[in-house]
Amino acid sequence: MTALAYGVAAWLLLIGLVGIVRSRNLIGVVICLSVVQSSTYVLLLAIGYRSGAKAPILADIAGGTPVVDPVVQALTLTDVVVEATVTALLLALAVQAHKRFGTLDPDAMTEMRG
Amino acid sequence: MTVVQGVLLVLVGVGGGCVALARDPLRQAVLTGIFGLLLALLFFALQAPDVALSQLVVGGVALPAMILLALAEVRSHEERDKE
Amino acid sequence: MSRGARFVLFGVSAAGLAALLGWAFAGLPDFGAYAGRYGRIVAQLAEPDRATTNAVTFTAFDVRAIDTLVEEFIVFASAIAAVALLRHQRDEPEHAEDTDTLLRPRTSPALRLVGAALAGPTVVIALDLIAHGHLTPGGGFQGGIVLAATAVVVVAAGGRVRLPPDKPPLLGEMMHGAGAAGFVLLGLGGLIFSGAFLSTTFAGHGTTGALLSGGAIPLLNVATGFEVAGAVIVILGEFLEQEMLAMEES
Repeated sequence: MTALAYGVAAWLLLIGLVGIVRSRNLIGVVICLSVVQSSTYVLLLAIGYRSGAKAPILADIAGGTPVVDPVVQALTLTDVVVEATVTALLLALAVQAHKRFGTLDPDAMTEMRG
Repeated sequence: MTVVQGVLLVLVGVGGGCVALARDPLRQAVLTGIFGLLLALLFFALQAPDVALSQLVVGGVALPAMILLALAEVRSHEERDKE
Repeated sequence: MSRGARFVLFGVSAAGLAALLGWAFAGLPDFGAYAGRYGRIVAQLAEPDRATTNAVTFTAFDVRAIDTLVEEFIVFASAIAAVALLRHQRDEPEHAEDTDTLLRPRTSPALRLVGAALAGPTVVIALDLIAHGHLTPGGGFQGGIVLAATAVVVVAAGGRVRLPPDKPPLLGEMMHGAGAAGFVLLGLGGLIFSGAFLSTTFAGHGTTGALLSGGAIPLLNVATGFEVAGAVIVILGEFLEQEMLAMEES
């Protein structure tokens, strides 16, 4: 079962990259990038998981019960919000590129004008 | 690993594949919402409620809204350019 | 490089990457056999050290507070950059007509009813998440993004959008700036009163489980919540104004 958890993370990374390379639309590229980002979340949380442990909220569990690692969760939750804003920035860039080139096809945006 | 976690991991993998291999960005936007929801459920199953809360709102509300707004703006630019 | 050549290159590199990933993941501990010490120490320290019961918020806003500061400023910077990009588009001459009109999008009554019913509880849930971040699952980031989702709900249900020609969405920008500045000022407060930047002990310890506990962590939660909410509201506001302008043109 270890292979399933880490395998899904690796699969998401690779299939996201396939989507980026294969895409004919800049907005599709941005969406596939968010799939790649979610592979890192799955990997981080899979590393921090302890079998039979509880969530790291210490309010009503006795002191000393095993809890899941809180450090990876702190990293992941800030990352999720950062993903939203950075995706917004990339979408703004895609909209500007469409305004400039008239198309959203990455293959058609090859010339760099000075 | 419990059965729930295994099932959710498989569903997340399938969902990610669907999002990445879909052709039309509009379809990808809707699939992103579903994928975000599945990820949030997976995070709950992995005993991470804080992460699941953020992912629920980001993947379900903020991200599809931004993608749809960008698509709408591109389409209205195209319609205006045709005139 | 043609499309076919690009695919071949990608295929070869992806195979190499997959091999490397397989080798790397084989060295990780088994799923569920987490063996780290740092996480365990932090989870033990959350309650006695700072009277917080949410170990994740304690980690994010106290032990790893500088990481959270940097990530929050990534949010800040990308929101400003996205707005700058979209606003540059808006200043083009074809959009300089009189846009000071109320644009009400055409939505169905069912959508308006659901939106009206959901908007109030969502705001309350968001503020509750921010306020209780150090006690129960929640915190600045979660509450802030739910607060921004309220704006999405309101607009999706047909809220009125006024478009003054050059004025930015003021409330969103004020929240955005105040939150970012608030975080840094609280860090400086820690520096002044406790000798370490972003130290949270200067605001008192409190009793475990009370709303006012955990030092300066609740205050940092509030600052982060406003900053994240402001960032997403500002970004969505710019996207929406662009869309409304384009719709009004045609």
